Amino acid sequence: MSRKTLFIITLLLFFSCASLWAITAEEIIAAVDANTSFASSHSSGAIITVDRFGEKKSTFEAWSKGDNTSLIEFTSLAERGQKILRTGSSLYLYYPEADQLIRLQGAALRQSVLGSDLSYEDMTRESSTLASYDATLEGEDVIDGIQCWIVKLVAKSRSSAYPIQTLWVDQERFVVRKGLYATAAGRALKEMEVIALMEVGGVAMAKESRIADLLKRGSSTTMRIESIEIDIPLPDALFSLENLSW
Amino acid sequence: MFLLRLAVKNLSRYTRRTIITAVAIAMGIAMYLAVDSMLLGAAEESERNLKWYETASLRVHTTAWWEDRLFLPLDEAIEEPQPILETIHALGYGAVSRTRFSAELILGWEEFGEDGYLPVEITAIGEDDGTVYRYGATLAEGRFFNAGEMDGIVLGSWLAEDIGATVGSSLIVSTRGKGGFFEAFDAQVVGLVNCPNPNVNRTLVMMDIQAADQYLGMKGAVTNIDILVPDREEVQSVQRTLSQALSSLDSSVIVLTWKDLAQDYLAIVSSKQGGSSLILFLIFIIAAVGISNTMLMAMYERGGEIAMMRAMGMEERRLWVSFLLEAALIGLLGSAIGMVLGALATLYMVEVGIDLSFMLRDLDMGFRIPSVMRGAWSLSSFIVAAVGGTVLSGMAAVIPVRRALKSPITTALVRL
Amino acid sequence: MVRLEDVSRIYQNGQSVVKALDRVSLSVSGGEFLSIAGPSGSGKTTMLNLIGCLDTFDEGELYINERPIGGMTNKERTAFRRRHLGFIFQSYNLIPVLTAYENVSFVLELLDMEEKRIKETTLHMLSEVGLAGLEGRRPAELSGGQQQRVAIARALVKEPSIVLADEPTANLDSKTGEEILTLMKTMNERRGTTFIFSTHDAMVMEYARRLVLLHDGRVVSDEQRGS
Ligand SMILES: Nc1ncnc2c1ncn2[C@@H]1O[C@H](COP(=O)(O)OP(=O)(O)OP(=O)(O)O)[C@@H](O)[C@H]1O
Ligand SMILES: [Mg+2]
Repeated sequence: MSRKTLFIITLLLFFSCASLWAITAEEIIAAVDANTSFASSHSSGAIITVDRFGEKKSTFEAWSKGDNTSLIEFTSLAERGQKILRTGSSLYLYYPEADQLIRLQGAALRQSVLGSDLSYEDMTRESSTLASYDATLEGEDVIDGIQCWIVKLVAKSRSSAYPIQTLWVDQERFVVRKGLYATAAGRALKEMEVIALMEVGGVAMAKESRIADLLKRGSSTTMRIESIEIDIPLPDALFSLENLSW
Repeated sequence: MFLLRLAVKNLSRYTRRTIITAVAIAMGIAMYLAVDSMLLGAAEESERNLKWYETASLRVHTTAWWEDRLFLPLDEAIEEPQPILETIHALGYGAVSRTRFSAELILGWEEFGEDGYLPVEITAIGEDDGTVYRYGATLAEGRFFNAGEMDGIVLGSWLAEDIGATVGSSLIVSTRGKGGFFEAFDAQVVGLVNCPNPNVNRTLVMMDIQAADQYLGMKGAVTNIDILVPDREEVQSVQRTLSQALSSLDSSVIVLTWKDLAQDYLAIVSSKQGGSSLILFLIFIIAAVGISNTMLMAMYERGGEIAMMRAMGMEERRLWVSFLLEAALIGLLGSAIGMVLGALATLYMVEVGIDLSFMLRDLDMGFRIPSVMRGAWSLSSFIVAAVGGTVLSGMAAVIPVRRALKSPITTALVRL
Repeated sequence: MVRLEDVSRIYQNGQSVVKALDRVSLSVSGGEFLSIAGPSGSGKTTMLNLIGCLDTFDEGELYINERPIGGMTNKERTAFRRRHLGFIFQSYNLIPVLTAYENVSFVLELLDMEEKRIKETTLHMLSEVGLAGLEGRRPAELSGGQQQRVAIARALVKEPSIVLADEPTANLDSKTGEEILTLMKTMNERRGTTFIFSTHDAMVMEYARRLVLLHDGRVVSDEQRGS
């Protein structure tokens, strides 16, 4: 062992001690992002919104291709035929009763989808979390008996909806089990919990998750995936504007 | 002169019929004048209350903000308000910057008895706001927030009543900052204003502009600059002057008048005005039918006389003048009585007014008036009504007179 | 003064055609006192209306003061009547709201005469027909005979060349009728105005200096009478 080699080992040891864990926050988040992106998908599910006026369930069918092409069609009675199309950074809404196509831009994207805790911009979010957030590893925790990493994400700019996110990431399967979303001053706004997981194409993903609005007591949105197929061939025409009014 | 005398004498011949017709016209005209006075009074007061509490006279926005105004987009704020303010001040007008943003008031049950939230528009104002607006005198309870006070808000009294807030109530304000990030902060109601503009009372939430700047990440940007134009100056011409002056400074901004900002109000006013025109129209129809009928009967009864005059060689022109004059005199008589009644009604409207507090509280009529609806004097309406009543009455006689003059002289003579 | 040359007036009411005047020729000189008589429906009124320029005819030509009337427009005929013709009607046709004075003076107003002359002329005319002192009365305050006197004054005040009267005495009792006829004749003599009046009353015909008899729209006799 040369002096040089010894020096390198010492250095490595020093660094691994300094960073306590073998994995970095960036690596965890990158792994989570990778687990939630598919070449294509076709799914169906439900959004259940609970607020002080009661509960409302909307069902949908969704298709996606790549990271930024997707189509959602609502199938529940009240909003049957309403569609949301995302192509690139554009978002379109289609209302069948009025046969009306609306392009959402700017501040309009911040409106809520069907009165839920989800907004249209949530659907156009960058697929790479690390592009918008700085990640630091805060520690470990046990959620429902599962060992999780606690990763704190701090928004790089003011254009991210949540200035601070804290995510609990399953250490084995790299799926988010719980998230806490807060203002820059640290006031918690929303809490997300994964209620059920499923296995798709060999990776774990949330089957049912619930977002609670911490400011509006008793108000929450549950998102449930009933079925999903991934990496299936989908025609490009499916995501065209013409297709919306069909 | 002779024709006028003849017309007057002919009128005196059917006193009853003349009076009934004239009174019908008079009632119509009086009603029109009363409604018109009421609408005018409401419009004048509304305009004042709009300018004093809601829109100021002129407002500067960025063009992009104005296009997207439904969302009150902070991203389209005026980044450098200072040079604009200075330019406007240099031209001698009062101007203040404000930031308006949408937010939700989150009400906790500990304070309000039940959980709730309410979408609102918050207006952030500076210490100098009083140089343009007049909230100072409207404070009903508590105090205004101080400059830089991070958690003080002032509410319109009706809004406070609706949500059950009083001075000292605390709540959470949840909103999105410039760029779109979520922000939420605690706030306390420090004062309530009771403003003569019901729209303001129903919706107003105000806070300090420095505090808002910090919460929303504005970094000195504001959504609008509001300008006071003295009453004696014409708003439109000041708008042009300012547009000119600002165009070299910041090409992204536009200067809007209170009319651009209060479209809802103008729409209401014009529809109400449409209503009053409709009344006017109906009155004139009534007058026309009444006069027309009266003249038709007169022409019929006086067929022989008319034939005689025509036989004597009286020109059609003179016959026309004589009969139209006769009809116009009924209109004039009606207008005169109508103006007296209308003046009495207007006097009542101006001095006493109609108390609408029972409905204004809950019903948005579009008018920015407090509980009592007051009238206003309008010389032009009186002139319009009188001239209109007289001229139209004359015109209503055209058909009967034409009919009388078309029939051959000989047949009319035979009827004698 | 008045000349009818083969004048016809045809009334057409749907299918039925009535020749109210059938190629009538008649010549009246200035200053005549002429009565047109005939049974009901014989065409008296029709003829007076034509001479009075109140009606149009279908054939022939009518000359008054050597002017052909046939080609005149309505306006011209109105002006012609105003200037040259006076009318007396069976039912007087006074304007009830005007005084006797005003009923007469109004004819002069139509001629745009100056106020002072109107007053003089009217008052003089009224006294000539025997109504001095009654100028301020309304028709309702006058007897039938007095009313017809006002009408005569109205017809004569503008000094027309011809006065036309359709059955001027039909509404009056015979005594008053005679008074009126006497007045008309006096005026005819004093002023030289041509009078043409219709009647079917034999008593009235007595007053005429020339009597034209109509029957079924034709002149059946035309005789001068001494008086
Ligand atoms: N407007 C008219 N339409 C149709 N026919 C008419 C009209 N006026 C008159 N006639 C007809 O013309 C004819 C002449 O009528 P006109 O009135 O001239 O008679 P008249 O001699 O004056 O009768 P009377 O003595 O009854 O007054 C009559 O047959 C009458 O029926
Ligand atoms: Mg006759």
